[in-house]
Amino acid sequence: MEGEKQALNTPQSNQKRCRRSIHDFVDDIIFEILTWLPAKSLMRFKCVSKSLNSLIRYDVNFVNYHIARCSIYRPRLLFEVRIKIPYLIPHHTNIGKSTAHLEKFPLQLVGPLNYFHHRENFHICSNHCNGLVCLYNRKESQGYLYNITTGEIKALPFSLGYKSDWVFARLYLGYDSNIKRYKLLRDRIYYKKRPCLKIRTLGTNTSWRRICDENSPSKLYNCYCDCVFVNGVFYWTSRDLNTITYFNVTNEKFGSLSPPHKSRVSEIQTALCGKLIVYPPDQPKNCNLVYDEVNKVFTKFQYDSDAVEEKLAFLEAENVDKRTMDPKSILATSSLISNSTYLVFSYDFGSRHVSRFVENIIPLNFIIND
Amino acid sequence: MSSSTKFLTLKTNDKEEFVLDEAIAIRSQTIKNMVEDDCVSNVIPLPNVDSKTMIKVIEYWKKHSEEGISKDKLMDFDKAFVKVDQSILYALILAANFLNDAEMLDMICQEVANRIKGKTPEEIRKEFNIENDFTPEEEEEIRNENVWAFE
Repeated sequence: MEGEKQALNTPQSNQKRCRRSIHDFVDDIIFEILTWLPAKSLMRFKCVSKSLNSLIRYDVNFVNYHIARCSIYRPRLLFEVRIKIPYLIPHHTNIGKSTAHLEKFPLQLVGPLNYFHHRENFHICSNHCNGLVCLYNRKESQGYLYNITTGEIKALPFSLGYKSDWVFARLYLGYDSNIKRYKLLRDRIYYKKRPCLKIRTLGTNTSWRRICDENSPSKLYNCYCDCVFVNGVFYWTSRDLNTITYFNVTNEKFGSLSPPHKSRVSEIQTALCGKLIVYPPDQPKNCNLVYDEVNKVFTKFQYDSDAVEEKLAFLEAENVDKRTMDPKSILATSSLISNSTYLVFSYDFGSRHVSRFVENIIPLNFIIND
Repeated sequence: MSSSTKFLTLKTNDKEEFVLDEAIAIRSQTIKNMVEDDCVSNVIPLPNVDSKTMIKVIEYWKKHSEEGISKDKLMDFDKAFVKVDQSILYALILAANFLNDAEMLDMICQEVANRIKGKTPEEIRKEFNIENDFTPEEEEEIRNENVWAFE
């Protein structure tokens, strides 16, 4: 542990240390080549040698290069899905217009080591953000951070302050690209009889801060439905579908939007396009509206002009086994397909969160510890 | 081309000389720096590059400097360009690294990554001539942490 800490603080010296064992000249090149590898290969190559292990595990420089390169090439979708009880009537069997082009979407269930070994005690308690998600262990009243790609799981070094056995832990995980830190938002608390939210920046020596914005946290109470997190902003739709409450993770300010026609947020479209997308009710699926963050208006979403036919993606899980036959939600990933107009699930699945992410090998230490 | 076109002579480590338009040669940051610092005499020596590799590098530079070439054409060219023996790829990486051409280096490193991504740790050791300095217990432990990556 001590050794790890040191390595984290002095990536340079660590890098030098690992360079001794590989021939100097080739070493830079190996570094270059490895930064282009998928996360899975890197996890496997950790056992090539000590130097490669510490490079992949502790070298901030390497990890950052890897993230930067991956973000250009390999975005994926992350789903939180629930296997439906078989006797429920399948309502997605009607898959739209006959002209639609059907694209299959193989879904891979996330099953790295720790998560599935302890699943009975954990539940997913946050949205996902860059392939990270919070889990909550109610027996221990302890929150954890989980990296989908590497399977690493790590206890948050602070208490979430829930009573033991509390089952409704709900956190919002966001990334502040300005300070390059993750922030955790905790559900509503009362402070001097006013509803507030708590926020905390991970990896800094700071504690929870209260946010008692005039009206927004109380509005959030009416937005019990799930949120989407995109480009540094959380969006919650109100129950009456009249407003969308948002929270900007960078400036930590609330606000609200009024989308036209009681529109609903389309999580899948938002994940596919990386922009907030809503759709008006009772309209064909191609009437999606995109939120223009700069001009603060909703405009008609223009699909890629090349995609003449409407593309429909159909989710299909390939390796469903009995470990998933559980009413609890599970996590699954899929490669991103572009230009889909919309996406349906096979009737075996219900979906909750959908997000776009880039496979990253970022060690949780870098995120949680200061 | 106007009469102001300048030519540089590049000399590889096997004493071959290549005469190249300066505008093309400065795709190499190393050569560009030399030109800008005015330390270019008649011939630029490239002690880390052999002629066989330099021919490939120049082929790449010329194609990527063609005016009005479409993106698709370049992509096709790049695809064909990297379809060579592993040893040539490594020579190109070393050359791109020495010449400091980030674009070419990235492309070739990506190709190598693509070729090795499915390999086992043992194959990687062989490929890069890396010694396994783990004890069997240590290796087993790391392997167990990442069982899924071996599936």
